[in-house]
Amino acid sequence: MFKAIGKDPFPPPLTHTHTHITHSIYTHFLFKKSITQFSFFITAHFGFKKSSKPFKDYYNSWFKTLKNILLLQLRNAMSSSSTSSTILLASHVEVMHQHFLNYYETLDLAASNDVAQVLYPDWKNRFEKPFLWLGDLHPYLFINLLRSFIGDSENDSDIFDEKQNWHVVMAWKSPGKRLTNRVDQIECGLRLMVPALAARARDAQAAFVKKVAAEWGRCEGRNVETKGGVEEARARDFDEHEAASKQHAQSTFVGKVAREPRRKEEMKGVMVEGAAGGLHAQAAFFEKTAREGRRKDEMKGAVAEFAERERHVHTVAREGRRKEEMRRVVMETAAAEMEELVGVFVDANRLRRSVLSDILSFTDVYQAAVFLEALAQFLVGFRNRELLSQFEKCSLEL
Amino acid sequence: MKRPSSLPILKQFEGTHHVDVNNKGKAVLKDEFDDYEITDSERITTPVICRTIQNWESTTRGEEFSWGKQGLWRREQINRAAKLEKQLKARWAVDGLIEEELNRFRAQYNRAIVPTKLKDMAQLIMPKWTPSPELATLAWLGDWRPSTILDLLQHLAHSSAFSKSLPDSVAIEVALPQLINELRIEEAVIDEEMAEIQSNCILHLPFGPNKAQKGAAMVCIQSEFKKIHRVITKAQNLRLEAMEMAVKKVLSRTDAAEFLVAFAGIQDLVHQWATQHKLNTGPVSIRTKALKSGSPLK
Repeated sequence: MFKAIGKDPFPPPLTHTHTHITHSIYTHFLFKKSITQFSFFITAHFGFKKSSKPFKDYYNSWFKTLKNILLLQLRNAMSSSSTSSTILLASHVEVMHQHFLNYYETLDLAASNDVAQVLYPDWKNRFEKPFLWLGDLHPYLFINLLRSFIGDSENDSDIFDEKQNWHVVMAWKSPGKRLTNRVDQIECGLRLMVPALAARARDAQAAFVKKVAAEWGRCEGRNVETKGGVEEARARDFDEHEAASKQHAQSTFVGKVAREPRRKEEMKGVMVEGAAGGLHAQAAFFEKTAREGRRKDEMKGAVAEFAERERHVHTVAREGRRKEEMRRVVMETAAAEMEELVGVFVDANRLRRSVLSDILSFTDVYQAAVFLEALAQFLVGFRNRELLSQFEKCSLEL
Repeated sequence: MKRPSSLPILKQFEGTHHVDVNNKGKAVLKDEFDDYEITDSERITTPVICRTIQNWESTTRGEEFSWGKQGLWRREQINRAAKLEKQLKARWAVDGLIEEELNRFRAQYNRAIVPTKLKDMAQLIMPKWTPSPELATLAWLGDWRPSTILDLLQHLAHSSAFSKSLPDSVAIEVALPQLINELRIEEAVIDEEMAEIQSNCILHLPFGPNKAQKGAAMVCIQSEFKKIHRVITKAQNLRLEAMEMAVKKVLSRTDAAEFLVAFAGIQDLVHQWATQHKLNTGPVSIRTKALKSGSPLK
């Protein structure tokens, strides 16, 4: 249809409207550019893109939800004694459970972004940090917390507050053989898996050190070779210098030999002219020879200085290349180690999640509610403002 | 501690190896070691050009003592003594530097032993001045993992970073892996102690289910932190033990110096990488699209 392929068959007329559109496109382009620049600024200065959020913000938000909404709702449901309360309590238990699972899943996502920061989290306060194992609560803690209720059930008095839900109070009174057996089973599994995870983290570090040490040795070894090379070069320089000196000496000798008849002639002339004139020619000859010698020494010095400078430049360049290579090796090896640590961290979280889910699967709704309430209270306790303030000001020494 | 019993193994292996291979007596073995010592320090300073031991001819019967010969012999003696003195001074200088470096490690690792306030405990485990990628790469309870220190030694030896005598020695092949294994066992024991605090003692904190009925909250926290402090002290001691073992017991003077240089160099490289990595990555983030519905951020 259109013969001029590749050309617009209806080129827009160059009108005011077109100029306006072009202008608006240009403005839009500038706006987009400024947006891009702004987002680049954000990325460069805050290290995250528009579609991503800092984990710290997520954690603060997650914690507020736990403390101000979910824990309060669970407590209300636990104290309610109405007939429909069991269903309500079950839903609150499930919401709380999902809240914890969501946290661990998000931690996994964060680990894939930077595992080092989730292993050593700066969103945890100074009170919490010493109690962290692979970046979060120790999986044994869930089981020990559960055991604390089983142990308590034997010692508790039978005083019953009427405001409390009778089912909740009696939840752990007689846990039953099946439950204690299940707790033992989970603990056995944990006792196998926790040291294995710690060993994997240790082995990842050992593998890093192995690779870096091998490269260090290789570079040092090469250094020895280069040291040998320097010695060889030095010897070669020396030989060349010797050869040049010899050549120079030969040419000097030839020159001398050539000059000798002239000198003899001169001397003859001198003899003819008289002793005083001869002495003068001799003095001039000696002065010339001495000047020649000084010039040669200066040349030798200059050559040696140049060779030394050349060697220094080569050594510095070689050292720079060696360091650059080591930097590259450290970067690559560390990246491999981080990948392995992501695996370890994700498995540790999987363990935490599975212990939590297991516990909730074999406990009844009241037992689960008491357990989750204690766990949430535990996390909230670490961030209690009053306690933290006392902790920061505390002058007690260890 | 199991360590002292295993320490002599190294020397024992070294000795056995030399005796077996060379089939020489004790005196010969001693001479060999003496020779090694001189060669070690020679490598540190400017190399002596002629290493062959010249056999000086004894004065033959009937030969007259001459003033000239005596003078020559005396001059030679003075020259030899000067060379030896130079080598000795170089050796002492290296000894001093190694000891200085070890003292730095002692001072650093003893930070946990000096009285610490409750709030400073976190600094011992997660030092603020060490970037998190560096901690993840090398650290265990706040600093280098003890077994990794000896791992580094083992792999440096295999990679011919040290003198030729070390990589083939039985000490590196047999005794060092044994020591690494022992250190790993001790690390696991310390890990267990820490796990007990993190999972059981933690329940005694003021907000825990097993909280103490009496006493102020801070006293209760102090009691738990003291337990952690004891564990950290043990970890620091184990680190120092590993470092001293590497430098003093396993390696010769030159190799110890080379090991310390490699240790510092690698640590510096890791620190540089970690700082850069943290700067490039920025604060750890999560993609909002990847978050499930119901997440607090959505």
